[in-house]
Amino acid sequence: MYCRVRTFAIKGSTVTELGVEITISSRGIPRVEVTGVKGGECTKSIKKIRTAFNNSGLQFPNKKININILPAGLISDLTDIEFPASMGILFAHYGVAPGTSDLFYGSLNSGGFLVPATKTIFLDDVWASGRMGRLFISDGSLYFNENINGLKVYKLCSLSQAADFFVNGEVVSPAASQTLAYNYAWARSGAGDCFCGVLGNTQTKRALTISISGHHNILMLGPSGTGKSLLAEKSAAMFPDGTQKDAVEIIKAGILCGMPTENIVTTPFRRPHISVKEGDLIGSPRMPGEATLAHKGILFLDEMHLFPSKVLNSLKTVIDRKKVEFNCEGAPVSYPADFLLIGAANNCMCGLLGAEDRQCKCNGKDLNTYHTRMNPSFLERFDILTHVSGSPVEAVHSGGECSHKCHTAEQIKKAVSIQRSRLVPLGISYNSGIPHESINRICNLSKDGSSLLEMAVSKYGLSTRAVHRILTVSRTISDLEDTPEISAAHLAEAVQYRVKNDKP
Amino acid sequence: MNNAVFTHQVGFPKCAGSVKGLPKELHIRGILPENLDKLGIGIVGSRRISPYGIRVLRELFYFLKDTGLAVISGFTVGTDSYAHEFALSAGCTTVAVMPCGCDIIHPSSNKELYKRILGGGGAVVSEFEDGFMPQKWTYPKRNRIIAALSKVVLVVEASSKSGSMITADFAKKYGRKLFSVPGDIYTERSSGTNKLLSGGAEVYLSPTRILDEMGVTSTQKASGSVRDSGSTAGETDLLYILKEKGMNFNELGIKTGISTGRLNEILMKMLLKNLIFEKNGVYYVL
Repeated sequence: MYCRVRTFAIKGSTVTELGVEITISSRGIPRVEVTGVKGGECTKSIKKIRTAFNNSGLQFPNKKININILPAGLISDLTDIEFPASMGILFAHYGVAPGTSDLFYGSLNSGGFLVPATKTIFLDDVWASGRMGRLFISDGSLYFNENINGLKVYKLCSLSQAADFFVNGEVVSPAASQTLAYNYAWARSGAGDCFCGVLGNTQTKRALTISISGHHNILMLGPSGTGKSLLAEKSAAMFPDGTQKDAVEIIKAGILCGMPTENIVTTPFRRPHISVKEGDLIGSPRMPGEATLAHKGILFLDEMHLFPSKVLNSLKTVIDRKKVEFNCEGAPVSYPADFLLIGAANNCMCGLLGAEDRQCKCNGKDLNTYHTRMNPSFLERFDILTHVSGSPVEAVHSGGECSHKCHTAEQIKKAVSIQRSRLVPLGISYNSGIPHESINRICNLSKDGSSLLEMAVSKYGLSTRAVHRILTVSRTISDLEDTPEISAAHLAEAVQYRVKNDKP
Repeated sequence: MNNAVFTHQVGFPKCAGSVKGLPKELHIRGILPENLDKLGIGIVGSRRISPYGIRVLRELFYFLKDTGLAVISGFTVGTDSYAHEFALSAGCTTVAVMPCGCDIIHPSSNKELYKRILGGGGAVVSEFEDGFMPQKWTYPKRNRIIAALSKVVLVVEASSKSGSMITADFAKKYGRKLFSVPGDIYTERSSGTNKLLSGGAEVYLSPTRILDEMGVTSTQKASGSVRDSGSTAGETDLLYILKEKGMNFNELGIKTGISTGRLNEILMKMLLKNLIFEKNGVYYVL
């Protein structure tokens, strides 16, 4: 008796269709053998399937069973396809044939129940092409069917329910259509949050507002204890609401990293420790890292000057390409990593340079080390540099309470919507991504503005890249004020935020 | 380009030749300006220069612009590097005296400066053979050459036990005019300069005395007028505040009450006009 069941192999976010071939022969010693699996650690899954059959009141055929996976060598164990494999055994044993476009996915527990799967979320790409069929998955599995047109999803709870459906002809209706199967909303934990809770530092707060609005990577420099980390944490709460698509991408990135779904938050805020390994930050071919966890959110590098240069260097291409790319066993693997980078560092190795009341104790060697760590090519990835200072005078003056007059959150929201409406034809959503060819069209300078830019270019010897950065930042500043033209004032502010690489 | 010059040869710096105890040969890269005994001004100071020290140097070099003087310093980080940098941007020739062979760029972070000194018609000088690595004992030797080559020596900032003090001692010994910049009596990096003042060095209060001593007159206008000319109302206020003490953006915002955006604009324009400069987020008057 032979039966073929269709299923999937989901590796990272790549979905490949698999065939499970079951052959039950009455001749030979009763046993189960598995072929087409790399490595071949399948005994546990088979034991589980056998127990699941028994606990579901089904009879596990006491014959020689061959399970063959096609194409061979794509998977290394049966864990994720225990349900399709047992369905194959069921079909072959009872002599029932599944529909030609029926698909099964999921694993079992030994009680015969289906285990809710999270990886099913990646199946929507397969169905976006408009294929028709029936998909059988566990009740409670994640899926979005906004793209799925011809697909009927059946949510089953147990093996016996599946047997009733296929063998005994019991009626199970397909799951109701839902945009988000996972109860997910852009919930705001600190609704109406703003930077006002942090004392002083008006310029840094302003710079962060610009950075969040236009997705400009920002570097905060200043002595310790001036509120850099606090401001970065607040930024996550200030993040503008994303689109539905962003929400799906955030969940997908979280699941890729093996995060429990209840821990996935609306605006990811990742703060890797300075001891982080290259493979944990960037990820490895088998496991994505912090960069992917921060997808559509914030990656905050606190004490950036203490990160090993090697780690920072490997982050460079990730920042540029907005994804992590590997080559794993001949196949390209890519993980999303589109994040806002917030860096915080001291001005020198001892962290006291620039402090009001204390003297920096660094010697020439320390300063050199600092300079190597903050290497120019990494600093080039930042659009905005701001100096954070903490002076007691200021703290008294500015107070810590928000007077409810600050409209920072609304301002950001507005600037984001202006950018989206302008940049949608280019396929980007933030000013930081404006390509070189359209910079002049989008960033139209006023007359004063262009003369100011010329002066700045000749005074500071700005490179083309630096000018590009300044223009995109000034575009965001004028979007925050909702003015179509970039004025001299906007440009002047953007030039102030340019990344300098002076010696300390 | 590297050539050794011996005491008896033409081209050996005049003042250096007249001082006992100096090396018999000097290795020179680039062109060593003639008449260093008339034009040489040695500038030394701490490796850790403070904004105060930078301000002193900036003001001095503002007036030294196009005077044709030659600035001699020690090429290390801090005051020496600033002196060379400012000299180059003020159009002065500058001479770097190395504690090692002329071909060794020490510290290596000053690679660019090294090229610019030679490109700007200046020279790199050392008493050591090419390939000689810097040692602890070569620094005082280097210092005595700085003193010997200069007509006037200015100590900007120095702690009481620093290389700058050794240079100052040599300057006195060789009969060079010594200027010292007074500083805070509680600050370590001013302790040396203040000590020099009590020991008979001339107090540096403005560039005027140095200019007199060197026998040159500056083409630049005096400080008061240059700062007030062409600055708008907001700028004048800021200049007035910054004149006394360098301040960061937030302090300025509170003192003046100007909004963040506007203050950014004013400061940027002042930076472009060269009225102020910014370091680590703190704005200073030039």
